[in-house]
Amino acid sequence: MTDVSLLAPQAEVKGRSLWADARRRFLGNTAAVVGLVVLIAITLLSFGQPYLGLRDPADINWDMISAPPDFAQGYYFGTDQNGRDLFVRTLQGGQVSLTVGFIATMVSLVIGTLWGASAGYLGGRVDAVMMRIVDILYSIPFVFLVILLTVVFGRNIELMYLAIGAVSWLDMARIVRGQTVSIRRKEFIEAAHASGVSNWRIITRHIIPNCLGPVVVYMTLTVPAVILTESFISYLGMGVQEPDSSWGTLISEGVKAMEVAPWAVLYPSLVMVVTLLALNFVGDGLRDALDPKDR
Amino acid sequence: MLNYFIRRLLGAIPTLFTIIAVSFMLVHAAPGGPFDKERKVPASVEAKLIEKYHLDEPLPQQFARYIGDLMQGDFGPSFKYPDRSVSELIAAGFPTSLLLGSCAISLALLLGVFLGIWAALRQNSWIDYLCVGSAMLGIAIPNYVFAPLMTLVFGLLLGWLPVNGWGEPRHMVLPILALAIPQVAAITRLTRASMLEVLGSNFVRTARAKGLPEAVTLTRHAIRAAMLPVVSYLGPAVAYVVTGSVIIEEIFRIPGIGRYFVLGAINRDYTMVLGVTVVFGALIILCNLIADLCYGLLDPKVRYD
Repeated sequence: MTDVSLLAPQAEVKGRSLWADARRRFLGNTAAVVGLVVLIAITLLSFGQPYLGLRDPADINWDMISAPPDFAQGYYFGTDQNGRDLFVRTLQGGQVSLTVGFIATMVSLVIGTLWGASAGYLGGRVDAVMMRIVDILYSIPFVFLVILLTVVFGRNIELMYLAIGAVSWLDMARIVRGQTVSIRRKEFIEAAHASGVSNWRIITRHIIPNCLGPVVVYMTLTVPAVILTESFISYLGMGVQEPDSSWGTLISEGVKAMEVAPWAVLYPSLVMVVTLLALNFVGDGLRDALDPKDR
Repeated sequence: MLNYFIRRLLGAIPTLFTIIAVSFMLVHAAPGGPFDKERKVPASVEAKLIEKYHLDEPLPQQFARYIGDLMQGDFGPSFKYPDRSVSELIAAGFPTSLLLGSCAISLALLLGVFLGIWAALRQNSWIDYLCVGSAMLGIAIPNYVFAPLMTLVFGLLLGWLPVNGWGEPRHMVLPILALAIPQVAAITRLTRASMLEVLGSNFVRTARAKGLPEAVTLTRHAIRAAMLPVVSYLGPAVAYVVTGSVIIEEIFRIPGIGRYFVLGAINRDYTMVLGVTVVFGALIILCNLIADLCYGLLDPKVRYD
């Protein structure tokens, strides 16, 4: 006597996946949404700068040297001591700073995830040695090494992107390892292992996708750290060089002229701080959205 | 305890060795010699210089020589100021940097822990929001933005503090503040989060349930446990302060080793840069070690065996 009706399709209860749930929580977080909108706006403005019909960042206006903001003439942030439009230069600097944030974070993501997942999955002595290496690298003052690198190999932006990324993967590796250790013993991994899937494939196809939540969160927190590192190096005059600019070089130039033209330091700093704040809000929002602990 | 200490001390040696090796290799991979200047030195002089500084030896041998000299506290000659050794320059600048850094770290710890605990005890009040909000700002505003802004406001507009100069206590206020503020922010956030977690934990409920006065519950149980993440943050905090001091010393023209590092990097004074990197690395390792030991003293779960 089987009750067929029990097996018949019922009114479908729509399940919420982790990501759908996370999206709902994220969109409910005002600070995070505002942060995201600000971030998108700054990114679009920075990279759209050549196409917006603005002045060329290298254009010099001899009548406007260190001039305060002048909306009538379209100098929204004023000009620097060479008569260049600071608004355009800030946007141009944004290109460099945001690119550093993106590329270096990607580099750190690739190295950190692979390192952490391998250590956590292989376990035992391999794990011990790999994490000991992370411990050792942890206490190395990396900014100095990056500066050393730029001193030794000349000021090459691409190299600096890679170098900053190559030194920012340690936290990522630790987080991914922790996550991996906790899912390594799960049945689906065992099943994959039993059906003869190679270690490399298990790591890349099963372990890493399952670590994605914390990794995404940590990524958004790496971006501001990386942007700060780049601007730190550029501020010291060892990073991006004229005629290119990054927020670090603009702030450093602004500081030199601070007493006569405070806007030259104020506006670039403001844009940078707003960007960093937005990134932090988005990161915190993502953490709250993806953290299964307070569900 | 002593056993543990010795083991950790021995464990720090490979770390320090790695730092020295990596920096040494980087410096010696540099294209062009340290004597490539605008004015070409005669070939005979250059040969003499290379011989004097042993640059003609194979790299491993140079490295062994450098390590050997380091053991005796000799960082080699400065390539920029040939009449002074790097050790002399570091010895001249180190006390200043140490004073600046330790003041900044102490201030950051005291203020950060205080604000964090205060915010956690008044969760969701205006005090809490104020602390969390300013901590967020403090983390997002880099200290090379803070420093000039503070000089502008307190130095130039209000005229309360001197902008430049070094030697008197009032010269130190702005640099220490600029160096400490980002760490105050980070420690506030950390303390608040861990304090909130501890306040909701079982042992605090037990302490309250057995009728301990609130003050005793907080000082003996809650705060002690809440300090653990703060103590383990101490290592990274020192690293941030050391890194920050480079830029702060540059901005305020303070004669510390951070400034030597920047000058060395700009002048391509390789031995100087190498020496400062090694000193900073050793300092950070030492602080990590101290943080580890403190952690053990605070956490009843840690046993030294």
